[in-house]
Amino acid sequence: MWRYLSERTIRKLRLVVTAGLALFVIIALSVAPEPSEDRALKIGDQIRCPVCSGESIAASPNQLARDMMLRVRELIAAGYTDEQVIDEVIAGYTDAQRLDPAFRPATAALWTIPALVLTLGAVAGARTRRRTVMTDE
Amino acid sequence: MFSFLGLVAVLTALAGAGLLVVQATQVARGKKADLRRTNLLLLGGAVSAMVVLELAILSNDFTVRYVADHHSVTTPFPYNVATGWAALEGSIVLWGLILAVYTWLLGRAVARQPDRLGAGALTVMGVVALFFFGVMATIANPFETCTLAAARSCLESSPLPFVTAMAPADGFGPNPLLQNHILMAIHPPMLYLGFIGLTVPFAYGMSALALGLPGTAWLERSKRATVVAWSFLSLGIVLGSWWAYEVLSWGGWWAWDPVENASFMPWLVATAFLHSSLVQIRRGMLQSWNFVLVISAFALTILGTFLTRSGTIVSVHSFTQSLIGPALLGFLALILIGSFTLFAWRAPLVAQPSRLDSFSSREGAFLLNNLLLTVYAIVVLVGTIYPIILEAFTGDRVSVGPPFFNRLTAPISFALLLAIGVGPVMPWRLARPEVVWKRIHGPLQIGLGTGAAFILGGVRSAWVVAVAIATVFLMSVIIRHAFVQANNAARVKGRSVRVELARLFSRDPGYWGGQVSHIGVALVALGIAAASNLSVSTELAMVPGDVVRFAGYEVTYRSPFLEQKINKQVQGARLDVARGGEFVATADPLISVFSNSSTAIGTPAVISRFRGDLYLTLRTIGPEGITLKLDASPFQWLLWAGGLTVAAGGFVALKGSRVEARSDVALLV
Repeated sequence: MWRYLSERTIRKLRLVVTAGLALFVIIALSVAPEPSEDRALKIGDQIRCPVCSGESIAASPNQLARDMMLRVRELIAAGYTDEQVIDEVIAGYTDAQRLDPAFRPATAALWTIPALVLTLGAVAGARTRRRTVMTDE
Repeated sequence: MFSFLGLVAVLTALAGAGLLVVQATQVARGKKADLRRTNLLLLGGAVSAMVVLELAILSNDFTVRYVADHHSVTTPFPYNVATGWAALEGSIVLWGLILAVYTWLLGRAVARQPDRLGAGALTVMGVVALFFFGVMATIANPFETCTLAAARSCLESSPLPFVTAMAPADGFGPNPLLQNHILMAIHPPMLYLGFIGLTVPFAYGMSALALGLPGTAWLERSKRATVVAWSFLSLGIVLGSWWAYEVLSWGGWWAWDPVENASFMPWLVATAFLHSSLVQIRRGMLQSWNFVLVISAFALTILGTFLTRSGTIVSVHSFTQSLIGPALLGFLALILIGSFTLFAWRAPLVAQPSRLDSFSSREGAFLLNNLLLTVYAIVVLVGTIYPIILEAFTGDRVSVGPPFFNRLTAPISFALLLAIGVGPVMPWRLARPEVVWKRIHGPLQIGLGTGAAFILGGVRSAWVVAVAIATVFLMSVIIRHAFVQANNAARVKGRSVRVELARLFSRDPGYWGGQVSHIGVALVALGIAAASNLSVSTELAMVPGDVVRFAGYEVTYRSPFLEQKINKQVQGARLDVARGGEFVATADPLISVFSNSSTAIGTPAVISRFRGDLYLTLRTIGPEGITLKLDASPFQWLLWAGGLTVAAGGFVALKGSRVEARSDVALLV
């Protein structure tokens, strides 16, 4: 039956199929529940093991790291939020125990420098375009 | 004896480097000089230095301090050979050797066709060699003679070869972590081939600036070296990551560790450079930008060496442990100041003759690619060195770990994937929307269809579905394009489509090599999305006889075992892994305590299958039982297969750039 359809109709049908697929994916993902994961390990990934070199407490087999992981699980069971758990576990240490640094004046450069480069790069890229379209001589 | 021979070799290479700088400068100024012999002097010295060091190691000559400190009679093959470059001084010797080989290859090209641009590049290579062999002859001398020895180490040493030597009975042996997997012996030389290869385009770039010869000659002359370096760098990164996964039990393949970042940053910038140099060769644009990129790529390799070799990473305060740190930092400052001064001085000569006609074009896509890769590199750079700078200047300590890097780089990576999907099929100058749409519409449907199938199949992670759509789209675009091209060629030449498909690579290896790398990137992205969103992990306590069900596996704890080795005490757990009642494998995760370190080091057991890996790590072991961490990550092999494909694409592209004169299509499209 395809050959009875004009090329234009086929193109329109294909567009409908594409749009339908895209719509399905977007809707299905937005109504899907968040996949469940081990909260303790996720929080542990964000806390640096105080006596190891650059490992998180979730990854280190060190005794102190293990004790801190136990504390994480206790606090989760006690109903603390993720942020409260981290604050509680690193109490007594400095902010340097956070592997995900908090945004404060001393750390702002971590975000502002890449943002600045992105902006400057985008502006510089935009300026490479010919402002007037030249015609062939 | 080896101390003496080694010193002679290093001084020979140093003399060769010095002579090369003088003579190559003369040739660059239009005079005549025989560069060949000088080049051979440098190469001969560099090869001899490495050979002497290896001979000293293999003959257990503990009067050489490096051998006493890093080798032991019990070190097995091939790790004894790898010891030659596994520690600081030896790694500089390997660096010097590879630099000398690249210099020699560059010199051969110049000798064939004496020219000022090539001679100028040789001068720059000579200056870099002068630095490294200078370091080897002074502050990081691997051939120092041991003058006072303890039982298994050397306490005092002298740089002079003819002093009364005293040798320990046995050496300390290499870092234990470095001698339990073959990949550890292979991946550093690969990385070095990549790092040092980037000196060649830098040398050509500086030569072009100094001689006032911008234009595309420096890019075309260094293109092969850039692709070689980039391919080896890709290979080194993948193998290093694989090693970390198999050997270190942090349970991952990438930890955004400064050492990893040090190798990744030059890769990102070199990737940007490969693409943007093509824009200049094809369209004359981005001339200044290419100089910035080539300087940055080279500077980042030196920065990376500084970060990994100076001890800066552990703490800023261990800075003075070795003089190599300050030396590298000084050299880095010299490179940056020198090359950017040169660049500023020659800026009036660097023309921007041609401009972008439309953002919707191949060069527009390359611009986007460069912007994304640059921001990516900046994120990694800032995240890696900002904590060091902050602590050095304010004493304030901050840690930047995986959560930060992942959050910032995930969107950039995804945008890059989309750009890879569309960019390669955009025509140059002006890509009319209907032309591009025709080339991507079918693949887009296939990608979206795959996404829908994933959702119907029960995948709920938005990242996995999005990356699956992007990667399937990307690969379909490339495959479709290959078929269309082959079809057209078949129609014109009257041959079969199959023959023409096979001939695509030989007709335009640059373009299709690039597409192979793109497919590799897609596989890596898919692997990362799967491993970081679909992997499950758990931690549990077990006593012998216990069985746990995890991710479809049944894991049985049989018994603990204990091994006393010369340099370590190893505790392990024997576990049986089954699936659906059928035996799969036994697993022996270990915890080792080394005699020279108080920290327990875990070694995982990894069971790799097509559908995924089961990764077992021992957290504690004792009479009361074990604590076991289990990770199941689906399709982990995608990461390694993808990474190797990225590197392979580079080598494919290389095959053709020699005969490129035949085709006007340049290396990477």
